[in-house]
Amino acid sequence: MSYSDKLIYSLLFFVSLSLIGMLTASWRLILYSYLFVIGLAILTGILKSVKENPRKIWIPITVSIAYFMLYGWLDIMTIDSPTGGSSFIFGLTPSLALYVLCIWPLANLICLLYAWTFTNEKSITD
Amino acid sequence: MSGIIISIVIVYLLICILIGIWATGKTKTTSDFLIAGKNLGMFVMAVAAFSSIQSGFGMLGGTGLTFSGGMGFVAGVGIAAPLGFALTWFLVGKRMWKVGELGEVYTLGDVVEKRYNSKAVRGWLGVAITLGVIGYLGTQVQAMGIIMHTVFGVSPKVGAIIGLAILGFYCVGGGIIAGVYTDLFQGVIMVGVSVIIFFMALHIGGGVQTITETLHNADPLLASPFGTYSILSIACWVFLFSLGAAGQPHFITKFLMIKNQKELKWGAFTAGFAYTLSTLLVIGIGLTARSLYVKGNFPELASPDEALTVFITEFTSPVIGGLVIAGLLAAIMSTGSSFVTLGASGLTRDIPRAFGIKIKNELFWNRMAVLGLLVISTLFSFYMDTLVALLGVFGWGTFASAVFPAVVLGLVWEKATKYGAISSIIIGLVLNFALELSGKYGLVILPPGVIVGAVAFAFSIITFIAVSLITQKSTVELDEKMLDAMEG
Repeated sequence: MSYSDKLIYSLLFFVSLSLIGMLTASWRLILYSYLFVIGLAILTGILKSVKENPRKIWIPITVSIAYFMLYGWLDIMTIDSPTGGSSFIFGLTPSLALYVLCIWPLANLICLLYAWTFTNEKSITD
Repeated sequence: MSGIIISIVIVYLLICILIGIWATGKTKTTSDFLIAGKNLGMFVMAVAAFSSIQSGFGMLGGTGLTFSGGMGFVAGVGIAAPLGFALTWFLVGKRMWKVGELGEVYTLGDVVEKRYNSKAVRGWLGVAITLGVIGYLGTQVQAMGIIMHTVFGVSPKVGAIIGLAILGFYCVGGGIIAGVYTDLFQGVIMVGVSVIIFFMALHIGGGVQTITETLHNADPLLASPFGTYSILSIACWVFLFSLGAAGQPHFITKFLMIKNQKELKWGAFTAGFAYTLSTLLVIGIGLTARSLYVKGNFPELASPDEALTVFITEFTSPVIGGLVIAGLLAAIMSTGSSFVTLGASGLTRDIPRAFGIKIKNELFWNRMAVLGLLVISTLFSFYMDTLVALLGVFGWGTFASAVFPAVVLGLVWEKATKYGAISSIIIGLVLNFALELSGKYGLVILPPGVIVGAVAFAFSIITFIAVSLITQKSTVELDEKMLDAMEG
């Protein structure tokens, strides 16, 4: 089975899980399945590079894990209260602070990661 | 409305017209009209990509939704969009650019015909894009009407027609060259204005903690990341608006316009960061206006969509108000300009070529198609009374589910077949329309909070892969150049 086949079948699996989440009203199933899809999409983008240097697999894995940890933390934090407590961090409730200061910037860091992986590829031609 | 605000808006509109006149002089061929002669640098392309994604729906509707329900809209759409830029650049940036090097590739129809060697896929994609353009353009028309009504005091319908006439003026003449350079001008305005108004709004609201405490005391959900929205909706939005970004034709066709591959490098960050900054306007005004409302210092609104315009007219100076309104018009017009040229290419190139018809004088007919689309979408929007924001979600979902599997997955997976592509486009279109209409007429099919576009998107991806696997015998033999492009 080729790499792209494996990626597509994995995508099929996780998107199917997300769809089941939508049909059964389980937001966790939608979101957590999708966090795998983010890693898969990045891996698809740098597949050529990963084939040349398998160690680069850390890039998509790290992104998915980072999202998992952040959303997992948010999930735990908001079990009892939507704000995650009554304290304030930079004027924001704890759960809002986690979202605004960690989850939001991560999306921009992944954009930077694209520039970094682009630079590190051998095959770029003028 | 203050004379200063009106003057600023008129100057803004005049600059757009001047860019249109300049671009018309530069537009000599169909390639110029549809892909800017494949001559864009990173900054122009990335800012144009950001401004075409940041629409009236995001700015005006987003502020309204934040005012009415707290951070949920931003937690879903606002955070998903920058991630969407990253994923799109990773998934299709190089692939699209390389396919664009394989000959006369001006549209997504050209891309899929090369990929699947199928006119049918081109035709179906052309139909899907044209329908999506009409629906999505309708949201811009509505937003334009609201803004023009606020500024000039004319009725929303007349306001929409004035704005669209200016949009039509520069798009008919200058095509996508006018589109991307007005996008650049408009994108810079959006970012600048958003940053300024964010800090002003925080100041007016008494600072971050005061705003948070006021919202928290009124309803703790308003001070939470998900606001009063269902977390189910937010999870759906994250899925639809980040992965689905790669299925937005007005965005991914811009990869065909870049002059060389090196220009891709900083594009994702430029576009993603610009989008993030522009979201500050939505958060700043949305939450501050709500906290003022809680304290009894903000007027009653007929619709949440008015939150932004009321805030800037009641709480800021006319200069800032004029700039914010120019920024709003920028968001609306930049998205609109991308859509009309995209829709025109579907009508004059993709659909006719699907039937083996090659139109002579394509440039002229593209211009006629732009005019026709503006008229049709205006009529469409006048007879839809759903909130601007909800219509925007509908358009995004239609594109994501119809375009993403056929184009994006088709470019990453050799075993994709034309049957997989066609069936995913049809499933995407049918599900979006059927579920949206059934919901509108009270037939409950999905659990409350689930976003129709997300369901259709997931279904279309699954259909694409499943049908491709079933129809493996129809896989086309790909030449070396296409395989190289697909490898990324």
